[in-house]
Amino acid sequence: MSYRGFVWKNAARNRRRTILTVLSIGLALFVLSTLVAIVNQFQKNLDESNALRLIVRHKVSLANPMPERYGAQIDRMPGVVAAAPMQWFGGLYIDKKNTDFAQFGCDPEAMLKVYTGVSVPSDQQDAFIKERTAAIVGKSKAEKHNWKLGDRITLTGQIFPVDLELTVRGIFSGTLNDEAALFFHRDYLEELLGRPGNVGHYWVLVDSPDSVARVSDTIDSTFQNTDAPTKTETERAFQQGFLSMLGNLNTLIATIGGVVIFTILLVTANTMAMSVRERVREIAVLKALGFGRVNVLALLMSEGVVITLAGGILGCVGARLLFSSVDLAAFTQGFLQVLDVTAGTIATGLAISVVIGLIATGLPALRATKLTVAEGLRHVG
Amino acid sequence: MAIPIKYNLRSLFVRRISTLMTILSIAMVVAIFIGVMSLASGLENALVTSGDPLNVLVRRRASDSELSSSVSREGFQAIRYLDGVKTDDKGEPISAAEIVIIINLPKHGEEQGSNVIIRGVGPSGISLRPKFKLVEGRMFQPGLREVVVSRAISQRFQHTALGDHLPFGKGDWSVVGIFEAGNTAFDSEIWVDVNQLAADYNRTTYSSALLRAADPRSIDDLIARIEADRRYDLTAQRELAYYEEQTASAGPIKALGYFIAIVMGIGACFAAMNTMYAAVSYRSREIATLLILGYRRYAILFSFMVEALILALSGGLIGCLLSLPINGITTGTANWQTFSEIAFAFQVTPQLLVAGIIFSLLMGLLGGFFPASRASRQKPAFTMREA
Repeated sequence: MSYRGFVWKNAARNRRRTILTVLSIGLALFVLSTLVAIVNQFQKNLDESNALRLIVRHKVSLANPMPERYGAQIDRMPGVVAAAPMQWFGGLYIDKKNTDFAQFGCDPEAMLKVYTGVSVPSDQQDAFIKERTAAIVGKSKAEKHNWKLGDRITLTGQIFPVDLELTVRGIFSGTLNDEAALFFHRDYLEELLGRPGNVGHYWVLVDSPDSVARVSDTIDSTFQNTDAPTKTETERAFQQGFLSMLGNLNTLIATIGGVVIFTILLVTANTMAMSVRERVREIAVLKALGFGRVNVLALLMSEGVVITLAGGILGCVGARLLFSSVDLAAFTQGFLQVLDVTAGTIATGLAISVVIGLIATGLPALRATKLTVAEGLRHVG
Repeated sequence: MAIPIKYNLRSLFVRRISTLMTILSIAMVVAIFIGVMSLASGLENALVTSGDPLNVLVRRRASDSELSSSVSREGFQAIRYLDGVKTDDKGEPISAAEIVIIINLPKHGEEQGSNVIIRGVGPSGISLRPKFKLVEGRMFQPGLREVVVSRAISQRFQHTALGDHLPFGKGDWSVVGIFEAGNTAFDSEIWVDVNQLAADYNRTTYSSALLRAADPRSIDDLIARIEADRRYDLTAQRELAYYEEQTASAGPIKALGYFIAIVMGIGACFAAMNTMYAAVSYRSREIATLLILGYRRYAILFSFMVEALILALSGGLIGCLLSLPINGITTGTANWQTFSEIAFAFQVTPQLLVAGIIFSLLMGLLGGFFPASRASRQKPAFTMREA
């Protein structure tokens, strides 16, 4: 019998115990890969940000508006390709559960120039620009809510005391996060509000990486001594600010992850200790037959790794299959648009399983193989 | 006759390593469950204890929080003299008009700012909130750019220590006092004089108004009276209900807690099952002997169930102990309703500890039943004949 066959036979000997252990490890690794995927997803959102795009907001907070004349002033600064005024609307579409996308009032022409990551068919671009109550929506959201060109969407104001009656004139595609948005004419909102001339924030596209720091400084120093001083930062830094508002997410998830790993270690070590205990005499027989201590150790440890790896595959691949088939955005009200258990996450999970298998089996196996042949044969299990 | 529990305890002790590992894995799952849920319960507690049962909060209709609301001066004057508002010794209604804004402040060791609430209050605003207590320094003086900061904010954010200068509005404000508000939402706020704040932000309207109802029965009528006057477009709500709505921010944390607890709990069940199956198979001859001696099958079933429950309960107790040290640690997260930071403390409540113990017993029950029923179904003659 080959070594591989021997390991396999041993793992399958107490089938119920092996299955229970594999399931137990599988569930724990399912939790672990979910946690890793959440952290990765936040990181990915940061990485997808455009390094040439700056966000200008009121220095005090995002809730304080800036005057709309800033747009033209920023537009004229050297190094600026375009500045797009934005107003976050934060309205309700039907109810909370259906409002799983962001809504921005914008200047359509400037927005299309600055929002480089998304693409809109050119005839739809024109239609969006021309009509005052037109809106464009992300492709994935259009599919989910079954919006077609020409459909009407009503957004009920939550922060603003007005409701928007919009017509879908374009459907854009981009990353899943980009697509979780709707854009309409800021001018339409201004008109409903009686033209206060307010802008929530500006998106500014610069021409090269060298311009980023210079343009940021120019913008902030220009408006320094006005009623509405600004704070300009890269899109990445801006999103990091949002994440830091959530609190110490990384510590929380790392702590939970650590405890989960420790639990798997305990469960596996327990199973392997039970298996080894039952086989003390067999191990002595193997040694009497001439198998070296290292050989026997390797046999036992491979068995442990086979079990944890099976659990790892079950948990990680299970997580991937599950999360790719449910609508997370509706579950989490837009908090998580998508949870991608990547190949890298799966690899991490499997690596953790292997290491746990080695450690958990190593200790009991070392103890058992240390016994001499005579001691082992005399053992009563 | 029942099999003595001593038999179970001794059996567990003989296989102490395996017993200990099983107990610990159950303890870990219970500890994570309590830990995450104490985060949610701390946040919820901060919000639900914020309101006073007699306070009525008035906002502009269709606004979702104080931040997006506005109440005109005329509107405030009209509603405070309505029937049902409690009056003080001088016959003046107990009412307060306040301005709420948010500013962006960096936490210690961070460059990125988080939003913090600044509340402009008047003298009656403080008496309407009995949990407010100044613990250091003095109160701000009306008409001066002075602020008092909650202790939780002062500990976590830059520029908010006693004696610091905090820049917002039209210039610097001095921090003259530190307050505590009994772990409520106000513990995440900075308080200033309402008129000074209005001047700094050129505000001609208030954000919200707070009224003290004369007695619990008059609240509904008072709310109806406020909403009946269409001139000012106002809506009223019990202060308690307003804060309770914001507990939705704890939703994602709770979801995470339940998700981890359920999935890991099933995993721990399987682990306990393994241990108990092993125990049953090691002791098959003992079980056979017990049966031959005349113990009933249900006594065997019961005995092994007790053993599984002892394992699980020990795990549950250790899990509770492990979770206790996090009680009271202050942390903060975003309150999406007000779009600002809310500070709160992990709160390991007695209810959570009980839930943790019940959770562990459930794991023991599920993990122990199948092995125990297998033990009780043994055929003694067959077992004894085995080598």
